Order: sequence, then C-alpha cells, then structure tokens
Amino acid sequence: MSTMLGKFAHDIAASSGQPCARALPSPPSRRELEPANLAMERYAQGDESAFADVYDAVAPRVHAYLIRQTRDRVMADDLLQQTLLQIHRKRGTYAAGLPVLPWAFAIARRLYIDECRRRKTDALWSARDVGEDDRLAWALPDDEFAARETARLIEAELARMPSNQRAAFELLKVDGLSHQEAAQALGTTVSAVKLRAFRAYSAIRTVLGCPLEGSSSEKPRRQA
Amino acid sequence: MPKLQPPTSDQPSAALRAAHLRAQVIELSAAEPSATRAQLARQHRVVWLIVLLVPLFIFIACGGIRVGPRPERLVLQTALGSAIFGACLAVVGIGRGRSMLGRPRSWLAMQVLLTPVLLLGWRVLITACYPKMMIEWAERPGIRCFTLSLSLALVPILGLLFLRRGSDPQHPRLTAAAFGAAVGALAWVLVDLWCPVGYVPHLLLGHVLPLLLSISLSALLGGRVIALGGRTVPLSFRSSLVPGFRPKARG
Repeated sequence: MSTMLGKFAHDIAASSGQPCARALPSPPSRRELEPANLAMERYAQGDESAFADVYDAVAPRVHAYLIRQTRDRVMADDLLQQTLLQIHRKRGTYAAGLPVLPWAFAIARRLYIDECRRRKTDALWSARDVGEDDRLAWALPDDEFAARETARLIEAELARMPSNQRAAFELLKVDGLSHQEAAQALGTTVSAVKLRAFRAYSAIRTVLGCPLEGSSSEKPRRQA
Repeated sequence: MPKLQPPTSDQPSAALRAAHLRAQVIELSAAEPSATRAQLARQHRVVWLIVLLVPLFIFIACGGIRVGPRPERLVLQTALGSAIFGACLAVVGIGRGRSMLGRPRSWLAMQVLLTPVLLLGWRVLITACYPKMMIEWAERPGIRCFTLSLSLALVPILGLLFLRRGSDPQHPRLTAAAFGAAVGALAWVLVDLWCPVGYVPHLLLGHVLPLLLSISLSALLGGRVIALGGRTVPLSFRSSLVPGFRPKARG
C-alpha cells in the first residue's frame, strides 16, 4: 500500500511541493508495458518459452494489485497463479497488438471477486500486515513519519470512497494503466474512468490539505 | 566482528516465495496444454462454417425468398435496411474491438436495446409507405415466423458461445446477450425475405418475440458458458513451500 500511496504522493508533490514524496518511484511508463504484449504475441504463436517473459512482465504488477485488494499474501499468490493460468489457457485467443495488462487485471479482479464470494467472510478485509516488502525504502525518520501519516490518511480515504472510484484511482495512479486500459479492465468507458478517478483524486487531495482549485467534489477540510 | 545472520523467521522470504511461485506457475502451465493461435484458428473456421451454413440451409429448406404480394422494391428495401442494421449490430455485438475484453458494457447494452427497436422500426416505416402492406393476415398470426426465427438463431448462438467459452471476466451475460441480439438481427434479415406480412401484431409475435427470446436464451446460457472459468487448480502455493518441492524452471 505504501508504494501506491507513494506514487500518488509523487503526483501531489509535483503540484504542491510536499517534501515527503521526493524519493518515491513513479508509475511505469508506456515503454515498460510493451514487452508484455510482445511476449504474449510470441506465446500465442506457440513459443513455449515466452510464458516466462509474460509472467515476468505481468506478474509483478498484478501481484501488487492483488496484495492491495486482498491484504493477504497467500491469497494474492494463489490468485496470481490462477490469473496467469487463465492467460495461458486462452493464449490462442490473443490478438496481436492488443494490450495484455488490462486483460490480466480484469481476470485478476474477477477471480478476486469470485474468491470473496466463495469465502463469504469479512475476515478477508481484516487489517493484516502485508509484509516486509511494503516497508518504505528510505530511512529518514521525519520523511518516514510524514509518509506513514500520508499513507494512513489516504488509506482511510480510499476505504471510505466507493469501490468503483477506488478501483479507477488505483489502476491509473498505482498500476500506471492508461485511461483506455483502465476502462477496458473495469469494463466501462474512458469518460467514466476519468470521472471516477477525478473524484477519488479530489477527495484524497482534500484530505491531504491541498484541494483542487474549483473542484466541485471538494469536501470540508478535515483535521489530520 | 560478529557475522551477519540470515533472518530466522519461519516464513520464507518474499524473494523466495516469488521465485517458487514463478517456477510453479510455469510448471503448471507446461503440464496443461493450451491451444496456440494457429490451432485455435482451425477450430474456429469449422465452427464459423457451421454457424453460417446451418441457418442458410434451414432458410433454403423453408422455401428461401418469398416475395408474395409485396412489391419487389419493398422486399429489397426492407431486406437491405435490415441487413445494414444487422451487420452493424453484429460487428458491435460479436466483435471484440481493440481490446481482449470486448466492448464496454454501455456499448453492449445499447446494442441489445437498439436491436429490436431499429429492426422493427425500419420494417414498419418502410412497409407503411406502401398501401395495403400492413393489413392483417388472419391465417398468418406469426407462429411460423416465430419458429423459423428461433430455428435460424439457435445454432449460431450456440456456436458463438462455444467460441468464446470461459473467456469473459467482466460481463459475460451482457456479452452473450449481445451475441443473441446480433444473431437475432441476422436471422431477422432472412425472415424479412421470407415473410410478406407487415401487420404489426404479427411482427411483434413472429419477429420481435423470437429476437427477444434469442437475447434472453443467449444471456442465460452465456452467464455460465462464457464467464471466466472458475478455480481449476487448488490452493497449491502452500504445497510448494513444503520440503522436497523441486519446481522445474522453464524458459
């Protein structure tokens, strides 16, 4: 979660100059997404060794997404396995040039929803430590404290907002998908994704004390 | 100076887990054959051939084009308009567009809703331009058109559902409903060529009702057939962490 919050804080910092985000990573670029499509194309054509490349291109981001959703590393591992196996089974249907990541995210999302329905328990949502990977990369105590506080605020706001806004926000700001890809992954239009993400973005910025100017969705500023 | 000790936690490290998971997924994929694009294309060609030929065979067996008392120009206009609408609706309903996930939900919903409205509207609009073409035919309430429409649509719907089985992670029912609407629209074109009756209650019973049934049947089946496949592999990652597990890496 801190990675996600860090990336969002990166955006915030770009406009408001907050110091806590200066050492944080940025979302993946377009160029980083292309290897997945190329590897999938090779795999669809029958190159068996390309599946490892597909895995390497897709798995880290889908896994991060699943960990954020499930907060359970074992469940995330299992769902990632199911997602990649679904891609493997349907490799023949892959059409050259189409983006793989929205497809993978949509499969992961569907499997996660099905798994939640199957378990029918709220225990999945209990706050569990994700693990040591999520620890912040930098060591300065002030920065770490500020980042943790920011993360806590954003996490609370994300938990409050409607799930469709949260999903749009995460796919765009955390997973680095384009509006088009996020719309495909969520099965909706680009306009709807933009609107949902904007509302989420506005709500979070308001919580962080730097609301968007002229935003109609601003909420009253809260005491952090 | 004391030596650095590795972590003593019982849990495997994140890197080790990731490596095991990667190896296991690759091994499972190798153990489960899946069709390549070329292999799938052969299967698809056969299914498409069946999907196209069976309705044509049924149509010809039922007598093919029947002009009846209609002016030829009316037959041409209704069929041509329906064919254009049907082709557009089929492209939207059956095609996936530039995405592995198919059309957006709003497109599919619009296609499903517009199909009966456009086709019926066109038929009534054109027929109304010709005198005495919308009168009641007492001996043709629409039962035969109803049967023919459903017969023409059934095999293509099953064929399309078969082609897209277990593949839709987002809105399988709506996708399947769009298949039903597209197939129903194409069946409508053939029935338009076959049926000379322009009486509105006949059109509702014999043409629109089977179209709606095609959509409903397809959605009903599609919710099960083309929805993303459920779990086929048990929770197995834990088993990979037991001593003695030796995944074979590939690639």
